[in-house]
Amino acid sequence: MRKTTTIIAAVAGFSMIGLGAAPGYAAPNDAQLSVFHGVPDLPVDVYVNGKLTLDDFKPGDMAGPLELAEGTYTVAITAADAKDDSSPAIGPVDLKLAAGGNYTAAAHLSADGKPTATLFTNDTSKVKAGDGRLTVRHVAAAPAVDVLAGKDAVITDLSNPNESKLDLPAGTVSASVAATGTTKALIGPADVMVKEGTGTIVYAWGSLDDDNLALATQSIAGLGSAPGGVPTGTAEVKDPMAAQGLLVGFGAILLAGFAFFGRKLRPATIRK
Amino acid sequence: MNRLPGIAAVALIVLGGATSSVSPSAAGGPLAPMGVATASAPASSSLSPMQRTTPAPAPVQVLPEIQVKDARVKPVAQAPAAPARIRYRGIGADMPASAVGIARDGAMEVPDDAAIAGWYRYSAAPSQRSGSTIIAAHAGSIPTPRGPLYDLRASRAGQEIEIIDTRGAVTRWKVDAVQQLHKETLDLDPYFLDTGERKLVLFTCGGRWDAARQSYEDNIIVTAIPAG
Repeated sequence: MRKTTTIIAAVAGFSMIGLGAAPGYAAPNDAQLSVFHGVPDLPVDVYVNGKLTLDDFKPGDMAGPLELAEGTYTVAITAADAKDDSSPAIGPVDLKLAAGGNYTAAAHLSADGKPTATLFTNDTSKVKAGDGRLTVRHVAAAPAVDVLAGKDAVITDLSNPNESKLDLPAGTVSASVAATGTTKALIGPADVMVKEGTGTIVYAWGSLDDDNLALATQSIAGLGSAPGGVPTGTAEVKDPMAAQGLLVGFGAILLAGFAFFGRKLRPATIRK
Repeated sequence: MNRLPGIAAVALIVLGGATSSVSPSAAGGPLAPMGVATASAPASSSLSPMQRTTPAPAPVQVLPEIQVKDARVKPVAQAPAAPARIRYRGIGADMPASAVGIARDGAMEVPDDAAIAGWYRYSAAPSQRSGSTIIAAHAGSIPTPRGPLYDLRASRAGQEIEIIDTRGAVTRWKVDAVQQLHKETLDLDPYFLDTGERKLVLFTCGGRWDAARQSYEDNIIVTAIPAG
């Protein structure tokens, strides 16, 4: 399903803050930045270029998208009760955002359990009609994983902090995450809706050792395409109006014919 | 908070594999110009002392209130009700509807029997608040030689159409535009919109019968907007 050309990152159920929500602030070529908090048990404040931007941001939350002019932004993540950004838990890190780009900055645990941050670029290329795009990002303190849809591994050997994506027919996927080469679910199964014309991004986050591995999702709408055609009309309809006209015409010819031949066929006067 | 001690003074950056990478801030003084982040850049394991950085060249806009949402995976929401019936009295059509998707060749599926309307399942359901609801039916078929939507060609602006969904809710529409367009050159993008003004778009075919292709040359497209 084709969407309008505005790219909007949305999280399930909410109407979106897009270009329309902040007229005068957003330029058409702005980058869009979402921020995912994937460090368990650590509410944080997020500073962008020294300015407090997200206050008391909770693990599992997704913020944004922020509309930002192309450029480099310095992000520092502090404990939620910090007075300022002088002692961040993560960062400061410099995020370079290109014009029109769509990004998610994730605060998360590294494979060996240390808080860190990764900037992901979200794929906003079109998907073909009937498909959605599923992207899985491994941002958990856990070894490499396979991602299963039902019983089939659709992604294998994905490690922290990488992503893997595939386009697939829209529908609901029963997704689980297992240690690579195994099928025992470390996370899930959970129903993930792969929406047509949309990018669905799934984050595997948390810590295997702390037994709090979980999934979070984010949607990027506006990636759809119209079908190639609407192929109605595979049987020719004989137009009944035309058929009636034909009957009327034929009837008129018949009557005229009777009148003509009738004269000829009338018996001659019978002589006595 | 077991992981915090020792971390506070450290900027530990991990560079993503197939994604943009996060560059460590320059040591001492203004930020050095950043190179383009690439996946092949080595993962940085050096620990640079934490320090304040000077502001980046790009200004931070005054940010409007930023939406924050719980992103944790939740049970999949119930899908909105699909169309069950289309009633268009002006052309004498009263027909059932069935959800359809995409055929193997990338075209929209259309129910084989012209007596049944196909609702494009990826288009807006009747109860949704934005975008276009797409309905298509053959003008004629072998089971039903002349389908109810054959007479879309006679549609007039202002005529009323009703859709009843699978939960019994009724939405009412009035015809806004009637078009007959050559299939070969038709751009479907403006009709298949998932966002924007609420519309109902009905497709059938018409124009010249192309015996070689066993198909009609044109699509007849009726666009309707919500009524009252």
